[in-house]
Amino acid sequence: MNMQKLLYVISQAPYSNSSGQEALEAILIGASFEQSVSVLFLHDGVFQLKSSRSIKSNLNLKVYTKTFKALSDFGVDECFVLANSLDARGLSISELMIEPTLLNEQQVSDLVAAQHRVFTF
Amino acid sequence: MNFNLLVTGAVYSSQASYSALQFCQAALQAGHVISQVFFYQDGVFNGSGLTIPLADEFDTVSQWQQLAEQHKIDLIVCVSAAERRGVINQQQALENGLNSGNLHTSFKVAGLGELHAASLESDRTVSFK
Repeated sequence: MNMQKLLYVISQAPYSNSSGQEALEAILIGASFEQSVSVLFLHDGVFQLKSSRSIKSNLNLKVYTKTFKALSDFGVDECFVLANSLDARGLSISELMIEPTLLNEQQVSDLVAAQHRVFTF
Repeated sequence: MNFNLLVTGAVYSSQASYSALQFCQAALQAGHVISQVFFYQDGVFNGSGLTIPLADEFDTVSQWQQLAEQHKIDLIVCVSAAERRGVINQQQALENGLNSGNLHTSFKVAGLGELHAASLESDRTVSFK
């Protein structure tokens, strides 16, 4: 089989619901299938990438977001962020735990069109 | 065409499962194949064997049962998402010292690998949130 392009889209903020953590679990499994895996963060999903250093660990909370830092080690090819989502939320790249590729809306559209499968969370 | 589905909305409180059912029925009628429906996140609640819908409301779970039996479709709830939400089979209940399982007989428990395997083998994956 040819290598399939799998894109995971993360659109919700962390911790108030399980969407991001369960997306991450799906991503890690997907990346183990030896396909071409990418992740796109947009809308409130960009908050998942905010540095987790300031999260206090005494909140009985599993700080799962820090795993986003190691996505490439798990076999994820590329991470993308919709630039406008950062701007709209007053976030700068320097506040993120990784250095993603920034995209505009048209590029997001092109990215999605180029995939074999898209899983949205 | 061969489709596999991903459902992440709970039974009743979300329209996801109902929409997925509608999609399945239309696709099957048009001659397509539905290989698998994977229930993830809150979607695992669709696999509960204990739902009691109101008499004048839609019985989603029974409809999935009928569709799966008729067309040999795999209905899978994700093991990690289901365990966290208390949707488990008898064996999981025994292994964890719990009262009893509640998984509907038409559903299987499996991991995210099953979703990916189905996605890589089908022509399209359609998600219902």
